[in-house]
Amino acid sequence: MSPDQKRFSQRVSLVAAVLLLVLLASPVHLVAQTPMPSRVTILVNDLGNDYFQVLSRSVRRTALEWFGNHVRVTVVSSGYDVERQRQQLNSLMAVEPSLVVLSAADPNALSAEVQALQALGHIVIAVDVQASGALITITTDNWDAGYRACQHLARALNAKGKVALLDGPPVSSISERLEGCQAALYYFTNVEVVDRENSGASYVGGIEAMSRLMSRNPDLDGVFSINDPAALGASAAATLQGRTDLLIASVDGSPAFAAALRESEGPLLTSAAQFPQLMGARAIVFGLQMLRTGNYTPQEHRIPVQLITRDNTDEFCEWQNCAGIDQNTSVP
Amino acid sequence: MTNLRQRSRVTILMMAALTLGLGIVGWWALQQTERTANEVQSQTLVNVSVILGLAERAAQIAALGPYIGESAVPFQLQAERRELEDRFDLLRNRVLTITDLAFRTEMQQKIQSLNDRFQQLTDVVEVELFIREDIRAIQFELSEWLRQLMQPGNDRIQSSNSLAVYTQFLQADFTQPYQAEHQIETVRQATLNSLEAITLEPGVLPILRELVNSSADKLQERARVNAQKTLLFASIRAESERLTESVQGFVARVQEDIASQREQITAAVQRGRLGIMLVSLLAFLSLLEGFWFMSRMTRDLKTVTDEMTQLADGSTEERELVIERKDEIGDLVRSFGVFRRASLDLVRLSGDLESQKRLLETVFNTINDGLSVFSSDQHLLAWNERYLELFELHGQDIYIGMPLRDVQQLMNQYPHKNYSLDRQLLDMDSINDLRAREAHLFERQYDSGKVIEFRSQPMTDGGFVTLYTDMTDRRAIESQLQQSQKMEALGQLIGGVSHDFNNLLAALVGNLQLLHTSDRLTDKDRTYAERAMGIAERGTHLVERLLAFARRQHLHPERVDVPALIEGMVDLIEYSVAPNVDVVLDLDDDAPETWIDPSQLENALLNLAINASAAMPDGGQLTLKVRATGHQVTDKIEVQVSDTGSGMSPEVMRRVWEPFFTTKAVGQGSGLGLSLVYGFVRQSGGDVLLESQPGKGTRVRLFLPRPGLNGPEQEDRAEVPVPPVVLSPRETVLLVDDDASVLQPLHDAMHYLGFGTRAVSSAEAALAWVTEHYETLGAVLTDVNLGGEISGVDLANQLELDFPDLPVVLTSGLPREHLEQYFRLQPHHRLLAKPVRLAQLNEVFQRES
Repeated sequence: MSPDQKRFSQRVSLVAAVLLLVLLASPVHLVAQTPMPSRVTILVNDLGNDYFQVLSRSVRRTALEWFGNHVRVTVVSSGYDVERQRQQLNSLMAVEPSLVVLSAADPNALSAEVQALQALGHIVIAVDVQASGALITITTDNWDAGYRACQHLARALNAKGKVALLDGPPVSSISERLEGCQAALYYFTNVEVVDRENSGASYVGGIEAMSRLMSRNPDLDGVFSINDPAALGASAAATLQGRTDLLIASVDGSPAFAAALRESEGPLLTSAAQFPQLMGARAIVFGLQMLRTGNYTPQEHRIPVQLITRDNTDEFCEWQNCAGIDQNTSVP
Repeated sequence: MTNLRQRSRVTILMMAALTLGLGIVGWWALQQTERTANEVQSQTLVNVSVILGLAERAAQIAALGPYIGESAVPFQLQAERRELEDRFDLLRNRVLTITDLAFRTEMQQKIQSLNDRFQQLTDVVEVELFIREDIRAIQFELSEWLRQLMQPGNDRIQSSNSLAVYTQFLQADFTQPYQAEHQIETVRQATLNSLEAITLEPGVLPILRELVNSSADKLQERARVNAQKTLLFASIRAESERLTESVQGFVARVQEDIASQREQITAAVQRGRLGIMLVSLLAFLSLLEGFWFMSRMTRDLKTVTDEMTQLADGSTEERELVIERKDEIGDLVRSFGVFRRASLDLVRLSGDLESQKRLLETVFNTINDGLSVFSSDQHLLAWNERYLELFELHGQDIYIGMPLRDVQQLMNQYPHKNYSLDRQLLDMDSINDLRAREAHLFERQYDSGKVIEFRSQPMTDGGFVTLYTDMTDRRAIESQLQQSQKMEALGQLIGGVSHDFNNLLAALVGNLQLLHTSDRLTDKDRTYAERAMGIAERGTHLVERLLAFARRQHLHPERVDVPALIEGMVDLIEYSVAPNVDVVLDLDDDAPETWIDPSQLENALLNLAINASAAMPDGGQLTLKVRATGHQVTDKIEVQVSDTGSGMSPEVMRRVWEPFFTTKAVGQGSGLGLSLVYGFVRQSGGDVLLESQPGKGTRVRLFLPRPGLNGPEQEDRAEVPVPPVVLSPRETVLLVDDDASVLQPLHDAMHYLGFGTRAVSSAEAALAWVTEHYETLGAVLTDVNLGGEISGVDLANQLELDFPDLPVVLTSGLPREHLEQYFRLQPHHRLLAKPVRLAQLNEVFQRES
């Protein structure tokens, strides 16, 4: 086992232990006495993205496990349309207080709706990205994700070369990743950020953006992508143009990325893996806890990331079937 | 045109006008072209660029269609929508720049229409995306439900299959809306029916049914939206095509515009070209005319210039230039003709002047006289070489402008005196002032003997010219001539006097002889008579010496070896000179003999030696020198007698040969010594030269003739004695003499000798008597100089012709040579020297025995 893999395993074990303690410490009577929310609504941006699928599934299953089968778990997708998401939030005003797991299309635009819902007794749990006004925020440590991905990229480039950034929609998770990446590259004086292109955080956008970057910078050495779909698209574009020597670092750690790492010798280097399943499970657990304790102090949680590389893909606990997490979240 | 200036001015003005015209035409053509080009640029090109932009934008917008249609996520669509709106805005702005109003409106309408279609498309696509997300959400829930239903140990697996199929069906895409509607309804009904068949927990069925129904509704909606999208795509394509067609139509119009404008430009250029060509042609013709005019002018000018050059080179060829022009060049030619004639005249004149000047310079420099010119303020203006030579000046000492005073200062380095013509001493300073006003003639005598004559002549414009003549030689010659004339006159005088005196002496001696022969004389008387006869004899000697000076003495020249002669008389000379005088002989023993009377030569040398000794009272050296010389007359023997005595002044030298001139005290010298030497040497055919310097000594040079000059006859003749005349007793002798005092003693003497005589006083009387008394006449004794026209010699010759047997004896006091020279005495003539002595008569006249 490499040191990375060892650390990875240790961290997973630690997280599992903490969760276990929390769950075990929660008195059964609390569960019984506390009125269970009859409804959990999940608002995501793109159900075509596996990440959101995993996140939504984790929320739904955790809610079913904790609140029983009578809880109504509804998933809606905004398609990254703020107005649509606003309508979706407004439609919740009419129902009884519930848990609202919100992956916001815009971190600030929905502040009024979030606060109005919470005033009606709803608990809004912001996941993946911050949502202004939400009582609970659970995100990946996006800055650290960007930092570690780019640190690894710079080292792989022998601390020297030209690097481009694949940008994405203006959400906090993406901007934090970029900040982290740039902070890491700052220490490598011979690694130069030469260009930047918006990928739309999608596979197709990644292909397009990468094509433009390569035509503008023929001597490009490395690319940092804000997520895996865009990274995979960029990898496809680079491979098509014969630039398999390029190195691409990403954030997500999606199964598709891991599979691609395993299967090909392409430009993909590393991805800082997120844990959407863990994130979804925590959203329900922390929301339930807030309901039970009545402590409505806003809280924020960051989930650490783990780099997946060609060396550790085999040991990597994928999003969909991570045994440890399944176990730790299965029993309320 | 008659005026060159006018003509060239007109030519230049014409050229200028044509050039201006050319410029105007070119400018006009260019301006037209520029205007047309500007039109093209301002309208056509703008339109073209607008259209190109339009076409590009429209194509870009049209290309956006598929992107929009296939947008996967809403935020991407929104980005596309924004992009689309930006592009439409650009397109609208671009359309606003179209100048063609109708076309602009048309374009605006079409763009708006296209914009509307795109708006509809994005709306539809957005709806579709949302539907898709909704379907995905339902599908997510259904799949979750399905997963719950299909938990292991559940018997609902079989019946759940239709739900799983339905969940898959939700992902289907429907391109044919009408078929889709039916198909969806069928699937929905089937799924709902299959749900009824499943035993479910309470409350689950309505949820599932709702999920199926809502999803089916969404599917239906999606199918409709898809159909709408398809329609919109087609519509957008059509709109785009129409837009493109409009653009193409406009492009065609613009092309037509461009073509017409190009034609305009071409026409304008053509006009400009034609104009430029015409003006250029005119300018060329004008240039040609100008060139012809200029070349003619330069040719004529060259002709004139050549002539001038030839003239300048000195060609004096007379030739008339023929250039018939009435302009300035014509004037130039005519002026040049005048100028050339004047120049040639000038050249001739200056040539004449030059030769004149050369002549004058030559004369100036070659005349034997020195010449100087002084200005009125007595400054030297000019001089010649001879001037410097005469005054022994150096060229570097003399300069133009030198004051007269300085010049004379230079001349004063040699001591001299200035004399006027009348031998008055002159003061040079006073003369200098006069020289500028009047002519002056005077002499400068240098102590060295040099004499320079000044002939000063004032000039009309002030100053004076002076000619300097070296009179030294002339003065010497003149003085020599004067001397010889003087000596000649003296000779004549003394000769005449001596002759007469000789006659007197002859008469006296004759009478004294007769007296002496008288028996009646007492002894005392006889002593007186003898004493008188002695004095008469001394008188005769004196006369002889005078005659010697007058070159009338009787000489007896012979071949004489002078060195031997001198050697023979050295004792006598040494005895004659003072004891403190050394006698030095410098004799050329090879010197040829002379023809001279040796006793007279001895006498002369002795005289000279005594004179020399007298000049050396304090002693000295007397040199006698003999040598052959070619000096003066060839073939002379030079005898020099030189002393180291006191010498003589020029005044003394001038008179030293004169008889009775002596520097000795009265009574100490006769003053005849040197005269005798002079007369002897001259009579002998030689010459005498005296050289003396006061304080240095005197040298007398005698140039004696050599034998052969006078012929051997003379040598013999001198020896011939007078042949005796033999007379019969009854024959008489006719005595002829114009002087009665001579005739009487002669008559007495003849009678004393026993001859009867008859005396006549003239040649005519003698001839008359001879003719009458020839038979009784034995001889004729006649004087040569008879005072009349017929001389004694003439008489003798006449008698010789008439009476060849009659002997004639001539008498004369003059030497035979003199008589031969002056009286044509013949050698055969008998001659007796006067005064005729009794003894001579007795020898010549003899009685028949």
